[in-house]
Amino acid sequence: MVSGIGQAAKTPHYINTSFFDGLHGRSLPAAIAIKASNPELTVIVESGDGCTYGEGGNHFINAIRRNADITTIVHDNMVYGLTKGQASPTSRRGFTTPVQVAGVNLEPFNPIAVAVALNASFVARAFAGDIEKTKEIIKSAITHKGYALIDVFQQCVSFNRLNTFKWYRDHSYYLDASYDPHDREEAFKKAVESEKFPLGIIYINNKNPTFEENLAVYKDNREPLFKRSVDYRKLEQLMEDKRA
Amino acid sequence: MFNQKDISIVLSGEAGQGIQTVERLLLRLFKLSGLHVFSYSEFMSRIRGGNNSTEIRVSSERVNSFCERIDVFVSLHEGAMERHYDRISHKTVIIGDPAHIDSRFRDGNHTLIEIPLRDTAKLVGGPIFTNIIIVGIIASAFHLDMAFVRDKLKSFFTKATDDILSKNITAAEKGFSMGNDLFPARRIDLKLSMSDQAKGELLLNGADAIGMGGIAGGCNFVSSYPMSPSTEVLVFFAKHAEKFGIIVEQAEDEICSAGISW
Ligand SMILES: Cc1ncc(C[n+]2csc(CCOP(=O)(O)OP(=O)(O)O)c2C)c(N)n1
Repeated sequence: MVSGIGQAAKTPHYINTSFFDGLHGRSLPAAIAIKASNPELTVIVESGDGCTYGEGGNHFINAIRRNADITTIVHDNMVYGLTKGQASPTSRRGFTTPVQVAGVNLEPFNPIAVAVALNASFVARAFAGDIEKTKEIIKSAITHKGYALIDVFQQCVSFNRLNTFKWYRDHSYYLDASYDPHDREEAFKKAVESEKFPLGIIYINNKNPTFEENLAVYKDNREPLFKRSVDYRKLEQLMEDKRA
Repeated sequence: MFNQKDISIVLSGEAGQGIQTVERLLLRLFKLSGLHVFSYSEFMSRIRGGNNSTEIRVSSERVNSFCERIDVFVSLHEGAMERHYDRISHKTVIIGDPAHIDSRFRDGNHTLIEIPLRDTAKLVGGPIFTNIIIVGIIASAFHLDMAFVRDKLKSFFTKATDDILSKNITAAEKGFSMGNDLFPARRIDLKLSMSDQAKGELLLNGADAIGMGGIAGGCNFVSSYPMSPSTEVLVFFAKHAEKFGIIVEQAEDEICSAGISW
């Protein structure tokens, strides 16, 4: 597992696994590198909406474009929890905090629409109040080949009195079985709904190869990088060329 | 006139004029003749216009740094002397087309070697050949062997058509014979003592050295956000990535490259 900084980013501390706790917002580059240097590993990034979409926004965009076979779980509580309640990129308009005293007046960041726009491999939204369904979505994301994003609606009980458990429940609904996540235009329509937010797998794109599949280092040799050694004979030859 | 162990040449041209080609060619000619070299470039603009310059120090002994002193200054455009004004002294041999010599140096106190570079280049085939005429002039001043220069031009311009290669050779020969006429007449002699040891040395630039050191140290993952001068290191690794099993990735920003390379 890889995480950044925030309350959500502490998740790996409670799990018996190997993990890398990076800088605030910077977990995705490390996660991509872990997957690229050892493609056998299952890599999960877990962090908050501030960490992933704010501080790490550029990494988020480029992680989707790279399409490493990793899963990102974003605990979207629409607030900065660890720093005790300031606006996050997903905070709703009008949300007041000790910093945003007159209420947030920025357009909320829409991670699902951004991911569909970038033709992400797997895009889903879950609601933490529904453990069974959230578990199924996470399983599908991990087993999916390619970059997977799950934005999880989850209340911050200490610092967000607007987007409560009830608010999330009242503002969401599950996509039904007839919905086809492979249709990008339909996915885009779902992504921009704002009265009630759709839950479930919103978009799947199986067409692009993964980042690690494209790496020349694995073309003829599947061994992870750390098991390999330097070819000094080739290096000497390269140096010899510099004498001529 | 010179201390004859160490001569510093500055070539000053416009971006896009190809002084990097002259630099690479001269470095090889000097080194393969048995001289030690060190070069240092300054770029105002990477694409076109502005002044770019290269200092090449040539010596009988190892040279490890840039120096302020200019022994030979080659002026390749109008205004090429401006940025180097304070470094040019009355001991500096100034070489250039009359149109490219700053009039402040026509005071009788400076050594000017004025050569009709533009007209000569036109005769050979166009202004692009100016650079190689300069190579010929400098080769003559340092008493390099013209047959050797010809030979190295052939191995340097492997991708050139026969026509371009033969024009390059003509350009070098013209420069060489102009040098043979001009330098002895002005009693300018830049001969340095040469050694077989220098001939066998590695001719490396900083990016190659860092890259090779990286490979030797086991580097197998490189990520960087482009900016001069580190881009050259990224380019080195990209070029050799497949051969040495290295993952090379251009990052979206510097923090990504720090996080992704480990
Ligand atoms: C570079 C940097 N800037 C700021 C911080 C302070 N900081 C820590 S967590 C955080 C935001 C947390 O919000 P979010 O990512 O949504 O996670 P949550 O705590 O709500 O789960 C901030 C601003 C930091 N640790 N590092």
